[in-house]
Amino acid sequence: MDDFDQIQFEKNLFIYYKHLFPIQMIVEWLTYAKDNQPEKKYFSRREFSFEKNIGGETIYQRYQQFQNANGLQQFLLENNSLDQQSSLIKYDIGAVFDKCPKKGEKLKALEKEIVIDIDMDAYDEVRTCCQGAKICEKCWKFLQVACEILRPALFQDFGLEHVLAVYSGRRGIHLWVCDSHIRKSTNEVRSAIIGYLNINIGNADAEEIIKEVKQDKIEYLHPSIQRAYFIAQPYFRQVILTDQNSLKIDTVKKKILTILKQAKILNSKLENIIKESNDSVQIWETICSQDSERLDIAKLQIILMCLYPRLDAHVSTTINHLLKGPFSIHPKTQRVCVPFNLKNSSQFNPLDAPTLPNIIKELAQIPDDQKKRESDKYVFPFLGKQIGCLQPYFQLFEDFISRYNKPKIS
Amino acid sequence: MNKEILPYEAMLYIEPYLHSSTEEINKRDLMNLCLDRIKAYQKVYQLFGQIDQAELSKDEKRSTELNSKAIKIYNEYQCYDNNDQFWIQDNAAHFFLELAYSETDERINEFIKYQRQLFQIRCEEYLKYDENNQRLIKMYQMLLDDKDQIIKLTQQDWEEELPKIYRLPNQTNNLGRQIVLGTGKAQLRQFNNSKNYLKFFKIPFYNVLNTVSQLHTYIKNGYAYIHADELKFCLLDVFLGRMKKRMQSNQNQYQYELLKQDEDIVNMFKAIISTDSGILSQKQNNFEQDSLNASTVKQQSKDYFPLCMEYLIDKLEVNHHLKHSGRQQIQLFFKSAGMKLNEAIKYLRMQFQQKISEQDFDKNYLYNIRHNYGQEGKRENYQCFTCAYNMKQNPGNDEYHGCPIKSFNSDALEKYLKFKNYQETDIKKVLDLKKQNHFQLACTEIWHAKNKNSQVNIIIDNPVVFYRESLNHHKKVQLKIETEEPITN
Repeated sequence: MDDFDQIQFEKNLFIYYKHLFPIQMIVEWLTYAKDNQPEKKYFSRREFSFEKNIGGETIYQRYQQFQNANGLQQFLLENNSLDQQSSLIKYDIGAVFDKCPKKGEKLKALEKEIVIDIDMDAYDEVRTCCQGAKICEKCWKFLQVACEILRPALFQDFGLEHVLAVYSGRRGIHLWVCDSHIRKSTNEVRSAIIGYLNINIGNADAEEIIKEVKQDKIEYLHPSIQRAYFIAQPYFRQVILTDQNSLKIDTVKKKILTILKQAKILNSKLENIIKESNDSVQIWETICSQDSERLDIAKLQIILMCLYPRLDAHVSTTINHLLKGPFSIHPKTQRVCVPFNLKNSSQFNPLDAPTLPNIIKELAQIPDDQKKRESDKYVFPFLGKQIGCLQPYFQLFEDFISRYNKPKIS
Repeated sequence: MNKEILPYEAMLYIEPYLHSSTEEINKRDLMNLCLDRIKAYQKVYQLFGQIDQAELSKDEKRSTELNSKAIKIYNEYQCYDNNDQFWIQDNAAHFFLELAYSETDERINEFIKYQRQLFQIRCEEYLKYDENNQRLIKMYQMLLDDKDQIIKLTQQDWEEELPKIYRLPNQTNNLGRQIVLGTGKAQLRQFNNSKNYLKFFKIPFYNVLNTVSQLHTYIKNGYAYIHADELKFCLLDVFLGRMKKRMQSNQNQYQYELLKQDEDIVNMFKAIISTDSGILSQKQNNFEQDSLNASTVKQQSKDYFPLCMEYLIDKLEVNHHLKHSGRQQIQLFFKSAGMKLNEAIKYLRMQFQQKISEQDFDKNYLYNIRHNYGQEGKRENYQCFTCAYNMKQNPGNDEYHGCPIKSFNSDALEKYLKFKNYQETDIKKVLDLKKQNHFQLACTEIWHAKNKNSQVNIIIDNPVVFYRESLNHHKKVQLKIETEEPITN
């Protein structure tokens, strides 16, 4: 972005926070009214933190807390006022503390959603279409498989109910696990959950590529690993062999050789084919044609090595870790961080996510008299639902919130 | 009034529950009790220190043997007995030690390390003849304060609910009535006896965290299905977790601050801590040394660093980047090895700067380095990761932390050692030891290869030990060269 674009971006952000950012919904969500009486001042003990741009320098402002939506919007707009040299680039959501912070007082983090963070660049080793922060429809399938594998683990194994899936705006996804007992959990509980969801994929020099797979037979493996395998298997041919041709990559080859060697399947003929061929299908077919009772377990390891969700564990395991909230604007791509339906992740295409310039353009069509507010006690009128491309995402978010607050029928 | 003291209650240290029957213990006696315990803790810790826990769990004979050795040590220092008077003293000493060790997280962890062994051994003895797991369940319920927290599996659960779960897609007939559940020892075990449900319990997953994170147990709807064998280990976690919480909450309590205004008590705390650090000779003290700085790191890594750190430096200097875990490992090593903060920053900045701007470096990495050096946030005095910790790591892609001797496959290790110009005979020794899973001994072998002709008998349980012993050896050699008569022909 050059300077002109930067100025335009910041101008747009100001308008976005004024009329399109679903401030009431965010507040409603984070109030968790079902669990919290108003007098507990639950929302106002939540940390917000902001990344600001002041005269070209980036600074972070931590431990901001707000009484209500109006307070939050006031802050967003003041820090984006057009004549100033400062602007607010992104907002992060932190933990709920025991009290509102005062200088010098020790704060204790009491609650925070567990957020599962997966970035596409964790898959760089096995993808050939893009690298780093770039994504395309082909490699997005890695994250779809990740969602498919994580879904039953979260909902069935841990018995969770409230998981908000959000596209991070550039190259990843965040799964906000919001169930009440999960929000209250200690760092130890967080680590254990992430430990359960994660498997350790070693690097190319590793002694064991997948530590969790030590048995010779698939049916002796932990049920969650077996399940992950059955979920990933149908995607393997299309995503890994055809779309990505991952098996031609050197480090992948090296890992496959280690796996086959450990399973005592490797022979010199097979090794040669794997080393020489650049055709994933050919390599795979050759592996599959080997005669060994450990072939199944080796296949499982190769498939999981390529497709098992690669979580960024650090984000999830500490209670006071900050994370970009839903409906932020990603500063690099200008895409809105929109929620998507976890149960239907294949329908979501990140490249179709609304972008800031587009929604601002659409907002301009709305007559000005709808944009005024009655008094400065209230937030500006929320016009997001009138923007066609944003509307379904707000719907998803609203559904999520009302499902949470709905009393349980037993 | 005098109620009988039940050992299983007393050893859980739920609260100093013996109020009514406790006679005042005078400070001198209490002090002696505490100091004796520390000595016992440390001896037992050293006894188990050299042994890989995973290996030990497979070798029952060895494990029994070590346990009885440990009990002997505990006995020697009056940490192990079974009468009422003993338990009163035991509780008093334990709670006083909890207070003494509550000061920092680092000390809390150290105390937990000791207590883990004591509790584990006591438990194992106590639960030896616990046929129906009655004692075990009682202990659990005492710790959890809630009788609903542990549910026995019914035959109906076993026969109807569980087998269905295992019929995964494509696998309808594979398992039939057999059930695969975690028991901890082998990852999973098959059960086909219909009476087996008696051995299983249903527990909320957050009460059995270790088995959850290590996939030792089946989980459904937030409940872990746990075999009685595994439950023992879970009990240990709950016990230590409660203790840790209690100690951490001391840190912020007014009463604790008040206590520390009593001069006698402060002196007792001091005596306890100094006894602890006095005995463990390998305990790390912070020292600063000028010889390790931004311009000498590379050479020093070649001459004196253990393989794990040398490897990280190599990778850093090639890639000009390290991922989070690698940065943590090398930064804490720098700190514990005495490299000054500004030198560490200078060195890392110099390396990273070849790929990212100085501003980006300062923005993304500076805080973390300062934090590790205890200059930000909690200002904790962090120490270099131990070998035990490093060996547990699983470096993924582009990650180079952990213990390379353990995590590398033999081919990769051989290649790296050759690249580092080690002699064939040394390499062979290292690889042989690796094959037998003696990773720390292999590391010692590397130390001897780096420090030729040393007779020192060292045990490397921390990368800093490797480094410091190398420096000591080097100094000795220097001294020798200087004091010996110059050879003239």
